[in-house]
Amino acid sequence: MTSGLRLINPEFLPDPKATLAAMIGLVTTGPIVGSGAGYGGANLLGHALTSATRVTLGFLIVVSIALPLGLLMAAVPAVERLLNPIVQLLRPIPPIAWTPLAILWFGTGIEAVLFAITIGVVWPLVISTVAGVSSASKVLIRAAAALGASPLQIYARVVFPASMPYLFTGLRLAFGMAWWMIIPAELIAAEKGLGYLILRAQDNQNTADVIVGIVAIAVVGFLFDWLFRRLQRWRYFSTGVTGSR
Amino acid sequence: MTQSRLQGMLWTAASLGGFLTIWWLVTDGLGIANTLLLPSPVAVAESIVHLAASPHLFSGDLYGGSLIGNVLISLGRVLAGFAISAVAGIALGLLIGTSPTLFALSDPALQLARQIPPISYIPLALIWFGLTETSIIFIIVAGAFWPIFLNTVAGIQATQPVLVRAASTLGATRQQLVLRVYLASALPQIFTGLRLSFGLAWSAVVAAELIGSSAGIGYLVMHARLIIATPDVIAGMLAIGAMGVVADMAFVAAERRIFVYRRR
Repeated sequence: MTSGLRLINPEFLPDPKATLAAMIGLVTTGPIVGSGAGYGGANLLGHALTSATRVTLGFLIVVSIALPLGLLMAAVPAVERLLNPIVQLLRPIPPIAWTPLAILWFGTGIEAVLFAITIGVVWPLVISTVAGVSSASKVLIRAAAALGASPLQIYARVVFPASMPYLFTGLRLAFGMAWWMIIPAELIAAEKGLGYLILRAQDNQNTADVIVGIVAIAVVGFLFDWLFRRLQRWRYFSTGVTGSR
Repeated sequence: MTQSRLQGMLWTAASLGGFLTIWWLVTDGLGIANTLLLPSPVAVAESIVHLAASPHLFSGDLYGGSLIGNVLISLGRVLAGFAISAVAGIALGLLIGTSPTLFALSDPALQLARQIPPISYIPLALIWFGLTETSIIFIIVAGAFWPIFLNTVAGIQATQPVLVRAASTLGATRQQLVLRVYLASALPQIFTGLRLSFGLAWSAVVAAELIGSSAGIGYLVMHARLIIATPDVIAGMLAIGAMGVVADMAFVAAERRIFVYRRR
């Protein structure tokens, strides 16, 4: 419509046909199948996979740090009181602000990207883990203790499952944050991936490709979120310990 | 002062003190870390003082101005982008929230569009607007628009039907309904959206400046990295964080004063 009515200079907002053609082009020929001329040798699918793998990797790293830390902090109040001020100090710094430091420390490339994601997402995840564990019903805990469960049993079989709904939502939001982080990190510090793709497209003044890249970012983000929502429906993750909501 | 508050403060002091001590030990005290990469807290403190106290607000020096000058530049951009987002977000939110048909039509597209990190608009903004202020404001709006818009829609949709019916029964026109029932009822949630959006806007301006600007706090941090002035990088990061906290605190305080009737 905008191009049909010649409202906007077609160089700035390519008409849908051109965008679709560009998308098909990026997906099927040239930059998609193998050669990837102009985009560092990978096609749209390849870049999308790169970004997706990176964010998953970063997410796993963050989870493996934040989850045990959060569980520890929730279990031992002294640890929480000691570490909380540091968390509150570093949390307001937006993940993107860590990127220059990450580049200084790791150079440009995947390590810097992973570091920036980790340090950016770890604080909200720790906080939501602690909150999630504390939300486990005290009644259930006391009931288990009364029935003779050891502290370890209580933790593993009551507290952990009961805090699952809260925890899982925290995980889903953390993944969304990681996805939001990966694009700017790639813009600044990487040679592959969707963030890199749209930057190169902009370098070549190739508006159609930029739009295609942005759409791809949206689609992948949407897919991940959808995946988390489907997983959340799995009984274990949403019904806690008693098997009913 | 209650005992638990005192205890809390002691824990905080111990925690931060321990953190700073370990930091200092690793850098200056025992010389374990490369101080080019990880400067000692003393260096960072010096850098903060030096940057903040610079006499030139907007010119000269290494970063085209002092810390405060650059922060003000970034803040100006945030305010501009935030204002635009607020007006657009609330207006469009009102439009779509009060019309079930419009909502049904636009929801799928919106769910997809909101997944786009604002930073991904940077290349597009650069093509459309070049390296100008408009680019940066565009990126801020791209991010800050969503929380306000989505919260407005959600707030309106959560309006209690009984209120709407009561007002209609008393003879309210459509316009009165929208403004005095829907909007008023959604106000607390809209305010939450405003608060979230300001935080996002702040992140967005930093990101946009990191990539494509020659002024502002994001630029300061990026430039400091280029010349490997690591204490300045950290000082800039702390300034960014501090601004975010201050802004959020301001919103919370305003929220308490405006929405007195919601106090439990």
